[in-house]
Amino acid sequence: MNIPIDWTVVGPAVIVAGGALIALLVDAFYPRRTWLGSGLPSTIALGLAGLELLRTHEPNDYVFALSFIVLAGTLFVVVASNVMNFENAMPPGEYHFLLLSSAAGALMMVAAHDLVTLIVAFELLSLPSIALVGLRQGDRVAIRSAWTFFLASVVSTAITLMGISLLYGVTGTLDYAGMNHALRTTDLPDSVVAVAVVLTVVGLLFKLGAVPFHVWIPDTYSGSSVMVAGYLSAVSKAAALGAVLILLATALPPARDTWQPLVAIVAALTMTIGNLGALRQRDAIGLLAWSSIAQAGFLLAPAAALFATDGRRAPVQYLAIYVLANLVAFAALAVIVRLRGSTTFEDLTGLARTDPWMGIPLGFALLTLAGFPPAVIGLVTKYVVLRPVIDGGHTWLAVVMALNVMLGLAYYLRLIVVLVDRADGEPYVSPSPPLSVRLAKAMVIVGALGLVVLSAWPDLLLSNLP
Amino acid sequence: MRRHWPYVALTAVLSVAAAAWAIPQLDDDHGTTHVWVRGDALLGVSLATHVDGLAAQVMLLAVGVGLLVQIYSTAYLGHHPRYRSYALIIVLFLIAMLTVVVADDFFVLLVGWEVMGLCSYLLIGHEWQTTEARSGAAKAFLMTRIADLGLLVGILVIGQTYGTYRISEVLAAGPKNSTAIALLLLIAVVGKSAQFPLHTWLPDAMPGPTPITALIHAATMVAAGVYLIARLLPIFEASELAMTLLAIIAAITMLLGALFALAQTDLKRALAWSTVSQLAFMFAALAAGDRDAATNHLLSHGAFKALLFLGCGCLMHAVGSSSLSAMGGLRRSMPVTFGAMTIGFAALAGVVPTAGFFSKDGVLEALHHAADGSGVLPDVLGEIVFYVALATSLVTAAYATRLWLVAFFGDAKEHDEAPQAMIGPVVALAAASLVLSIGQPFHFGIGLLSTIIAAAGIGMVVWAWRAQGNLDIDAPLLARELDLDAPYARWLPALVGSAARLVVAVDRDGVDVYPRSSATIAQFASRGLDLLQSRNVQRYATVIAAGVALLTAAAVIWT
Repeated sequence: MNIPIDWTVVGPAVIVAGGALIALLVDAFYPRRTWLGSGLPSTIALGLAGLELLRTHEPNDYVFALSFIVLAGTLFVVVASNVMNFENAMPPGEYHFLLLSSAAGALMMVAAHDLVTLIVAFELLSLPSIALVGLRQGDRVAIRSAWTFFLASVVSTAITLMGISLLYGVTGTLDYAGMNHALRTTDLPDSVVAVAVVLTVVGLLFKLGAVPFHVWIPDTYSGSSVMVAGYLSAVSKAAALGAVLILLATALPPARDTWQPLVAIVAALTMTIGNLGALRQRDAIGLLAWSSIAQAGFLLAPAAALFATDGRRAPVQYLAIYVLANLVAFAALAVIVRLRGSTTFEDLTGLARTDPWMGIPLGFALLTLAGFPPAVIGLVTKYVVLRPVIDGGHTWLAVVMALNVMLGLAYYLRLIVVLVDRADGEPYVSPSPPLSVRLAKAMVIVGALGLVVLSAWPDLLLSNLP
Repeated sequence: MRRHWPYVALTAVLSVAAAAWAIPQLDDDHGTTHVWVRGDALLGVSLATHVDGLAAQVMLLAVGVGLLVQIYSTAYLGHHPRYRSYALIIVLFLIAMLTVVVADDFFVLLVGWEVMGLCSYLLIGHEWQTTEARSGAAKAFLMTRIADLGLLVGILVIGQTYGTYRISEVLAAGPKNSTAIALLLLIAVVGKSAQFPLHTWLPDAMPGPTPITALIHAATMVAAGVYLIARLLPIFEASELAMTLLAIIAAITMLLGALFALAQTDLKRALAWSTVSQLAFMFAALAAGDRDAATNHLLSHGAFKALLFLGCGCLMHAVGSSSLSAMGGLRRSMPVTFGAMTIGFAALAGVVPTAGFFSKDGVLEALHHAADGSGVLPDVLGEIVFYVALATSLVTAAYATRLWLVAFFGDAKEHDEAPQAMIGPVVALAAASLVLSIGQPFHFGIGLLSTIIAAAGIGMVVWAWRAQGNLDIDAPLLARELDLDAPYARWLPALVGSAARLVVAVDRDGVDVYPRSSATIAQFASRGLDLLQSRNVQRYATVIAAGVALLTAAAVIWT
């Protein structure tokens, strides 16, 4: 059996997967608990994959942009992961191996144009990340989080496989282009097609954390290491969104009457429930977990208007900013967890005053996520996703989005108020942190600077992606 | 000794730069447009400048007076604890004024216009420990700010009408929709230049430091209104209604201002009213369609009124008060101030050969011309405005003579002459008031008429001075300024107060209900979600299964 492989397309994914193996081997023969150990080959592999991606620029601008977001996000996570306590609980070799394997899955997932590739990539993304959640040794909460994640993942994979088998039965092919053609000419009843499409799409929404697949997110994020949660909220979500968008736009346009209202309803429910859940959080990580559910709704909303002007570009532009802002926020919280041990609102009070190098980037990332003062890039991207929704005729969804922006302000601004508030009692003085923590801090500041630059010059984002 | 020179040097650098920019353009009638930053689709504002002869003259006036005032202030306010912020705000003001003058984009102009208003507010309130300064600053700010809304709305209308905010493009496109635009701009101009009925803020701005009065409230900012209309005269000329209104406002203001100036017992306040009256002269010339006459008077008035205010500052520095009763007989003890202010008062009264005579001559000629019916104005109105202007000239000559006599003649009082740094700028402005008359056009008939009128005004006052020995004018109504401020003082607060109460009530009972109740609902829903989030995996699986079943069912029913 001869399977043709287009190496220009899978090149970056193969390089990342190879990097994963090298990271594991380096840790086996050269066990260092600092960034010099397996972190270095991981960083190099991601850099090389990025170069390869830039060189080939395959297969099209859209996949290129999504792959770029995945690679940049993973690189951010790898550098910021230095903050983690590799000394005791987290084995660095396994950590980097799993992280890069999962990233290779993400890269394949956004490049997939075939349902089998999609499901393989989906599993390659999911299984290592489940292990990542439970990797912390001797931590029962982490194990339970991983277990929740695993069960939810299995359920959703089962649903997707069910949908895919139905789709295969309906169309007789697994290739996106062929499926598009077959769906146009099929003479099967509409309801069969509808069930097949809905089951396929809905299962993919699991990774995105859309309602009703959001239930695992708060538990998993609060149970895993902070940077792993950041990875799940950013990179894994980016891959899922990319896969869903490409599937909807290339394979399923004939069934658009079925999935467009569905996606709109799911998006509206997701952002509303995510925001409502975030309202009562008193811990920054819990808040970000719920807020990432709400953001998934904003990411998904323009998919309901995929065929309007800019309907395909808008989610990717929103995604880029969301990934950057969310990673900055999670990395800042990871540093805070390492130095102070907790991210409850009480412990964060006055952070922007006592530790401005962490507090101000965190606050700026939150403002970006909220999209509040008109100067930040977050507002631009909120506008970017709102416009195709209105152009596509889903006015009710646009109203729900606007209401949710206000709802989001309620908790983002509350956390910002906490950050700039005057702390009671003794100001916290952190001991001089080791180099690894400084690296993570530098990454937070670099990311925040990126957000500032984009805020000053939104054209940089809007005209280059994708 | 405080260090003053950095601020003077900063102003000097700014002045030299502006002069180097302006002087080559002095004879350029068409002007040079330069686009520094082109507006794009996201932000349709271009950073563009347009400098022609008119703009160059006003630029030179602004930086010239600005630099002299900055030098003057080193002696006048140099020991003030807030001198530093004062000097820097002057620099900011000059930049804003230059922005207004050179701007070729309405929004850039608006920014400069508003920053000028802000600087005016800050500088009037420089002595904020006194009640008068605070309330005067607030009054000036509120009145001009409300009038500025006219400019903002006018700019929006211009953008809607012409599809561009560039001034040169708007002027090149020819007048369209000009009555609405001209009336809106007129509101802003009337507020900024303290014309009737928004004139009451300027006399109340007098608690500000005297050099500031000379710079902002005599020479530059209040004249920006004149400049704006002169710049946009083609739009105004296309609207007979706006020009008629402008002429009526100018006529009322010039006579009222002159009469109020006559009745004042305070030198500075009298000069403030005189400014209001002289600005109205410029507007009258604009209403007659003569841009050159208006700007000539703008320049010469800028010089001699700045001179008078700075001289007034010298007197205040000597006697410690701006009240006329505290002055008198200062002729011998302050000879330089006396000489310079004599030139200033002569220019105000319109005596040959000062710049004031020639520029007023030009304005009167323009009005006389308008009375022929050759301009936009109806000839009856032109004639009325012409006679009002003649009457105003008479009153102007009278009050100028009165102020001059009361301040410098009579019982001699011994005071020290002002310091060098204050005398220097005054002398320079006095020279300017004479030099600016070189090469001015001259109309024989009108010139003779205005000289006779000025001589009559001066003669009457001198005769009264000889006969009575004093010049106290017993006109309580004029001294109270006809109570024109009363409506603002009485009705506006009452109106605003009740409107505010109404808004609060509506906001509380009609608007706040929704956010409050929705916040409650959101909290409630949030609590419900918390209960669902039980860390129980079976329950999660149930949620997922139920959700999938619902979505699938919905899709099947739909299709």
